[in-house]
Amino acid sequence: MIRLTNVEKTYNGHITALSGINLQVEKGEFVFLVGPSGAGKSTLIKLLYREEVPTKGQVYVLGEDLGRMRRSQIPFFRRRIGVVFQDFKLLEDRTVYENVAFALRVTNCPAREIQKRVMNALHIVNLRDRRDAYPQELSGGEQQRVAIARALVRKPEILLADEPTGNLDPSTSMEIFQLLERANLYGTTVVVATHARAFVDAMKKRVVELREGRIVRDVRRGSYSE
Amino acid sequence: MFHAFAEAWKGLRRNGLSSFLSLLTTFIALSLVGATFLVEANLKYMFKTVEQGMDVQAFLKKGISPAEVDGILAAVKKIPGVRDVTYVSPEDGLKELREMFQDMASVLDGLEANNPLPPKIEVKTTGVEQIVSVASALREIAGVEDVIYQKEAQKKLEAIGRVLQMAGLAGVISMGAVSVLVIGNSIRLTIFARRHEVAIMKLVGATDGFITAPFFCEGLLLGFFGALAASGMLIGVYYWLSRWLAATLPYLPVLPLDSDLTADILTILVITGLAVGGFGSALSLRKYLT
Repeated sequence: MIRLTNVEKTYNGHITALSGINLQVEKGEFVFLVGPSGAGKSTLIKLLYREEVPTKGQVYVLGEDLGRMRRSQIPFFRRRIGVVFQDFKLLEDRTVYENVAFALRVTNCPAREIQKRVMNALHIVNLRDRRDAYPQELSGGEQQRVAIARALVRKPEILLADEPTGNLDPSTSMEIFQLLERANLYGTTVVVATHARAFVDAMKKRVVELREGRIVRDVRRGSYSE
Repeated sequence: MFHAFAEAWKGLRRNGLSSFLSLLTTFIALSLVGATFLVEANLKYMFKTVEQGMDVQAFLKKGISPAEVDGILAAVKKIPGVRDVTYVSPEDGLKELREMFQDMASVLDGLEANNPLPPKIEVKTTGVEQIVSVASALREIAGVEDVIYQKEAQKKLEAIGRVLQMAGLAGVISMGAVSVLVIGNSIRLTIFARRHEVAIMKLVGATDGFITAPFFCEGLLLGFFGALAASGMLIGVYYWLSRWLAATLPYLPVLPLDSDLTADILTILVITGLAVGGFGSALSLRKYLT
């Protein structure tokens, strides 16, 4: 599903974000990426949805060699994965419903199908009643749930999350992690970069720890730190 | 496609002031394009009025029979570029001379008996550029002895015509380029104002075409509305100006504002507007995509 071999990523030729990364994630896995700020977690996530390309090594996601993917193929690749961010990245001038529907509109999905799937996704994140609200009218937790609904509405094979609870209080964070876990139960492969120690420890998932751009720990049913 | 235009319309309304300013600049640039076209068209019209007065004269052999003259006239009418032809007999020629030299009429006395003038035909062409070809065709006709025309004047007029055309073309091209830049810049501002939205679109897997279509249509709309406004303004101004000129300078030939001219202005400006809008936004989008 995801395979990185000898991946190195440098910026401007000398700032090394990642080096010597070898990582394999199987279908249906749930993986936490942990480590201090600047360890390379975000860069690793960016490599996975082809926002960045590796300087050296190969990144295979869903059978695609992302380093060699043509520009015109990127949108079609991204439609197969969902991405969730710390800052939600919602369209401010569109309603909750439209934000979620947007992910389907770009794919030429028929209108009837869109409504059914959007309402279903909003049901999963428990936001059906707020479908006509605008992002500014929502709490942070609600906005992140919209973002998750947008990511899930296309039934992605992989769900990536970069600090999804970075701006949220613990009880709201709990809801978000529950949603990610639920998506994982339905078969979606989930990779989450996070600082939320308590949840990593409680959920007992695979933990990959990065430090200064290298993988220093990779354990099944692990905790935030050794 | 409908979606793209709907989004473009929303985009224009969302950035009301900036859209209005680009529309205004497009309007000004297109007005200049249209004005250049009108000035050029009028110069051409005046030019045509002048050159229609020019003609080619062909002298026929002496003692030619009326039947032969008829044959020659028929042959001349078939030459491409000939607008009109008249026969001037030696007697008519003499009358012309007498009119020209009224004071010295006595000099011409006695010529009636032994008229030295050859019979001739006067040929008017459809345009100055036809004179040379008409003249050489005339030389080929049996019974024609010599052909004369004002080579120098014709050459000068042709040269002026070429300069006018170049100047008009240069004007239209430079104004068109200005509009392209203005619209391009406006689209770039719109893209910049909506860069977060664009980033999100890319993130959820929108293709470049899907993302850029609304911006492209925005450029088309700007060009189109700018062209409509400019056409309306120009037609109005031209209407009053041509009436005023006709009243104050009646001898000046001014192209009349008929439905043909109105259609020309509209067609030229709308096509230029769309082209300029499309090209301008495509330019900005290309930059953004790479």
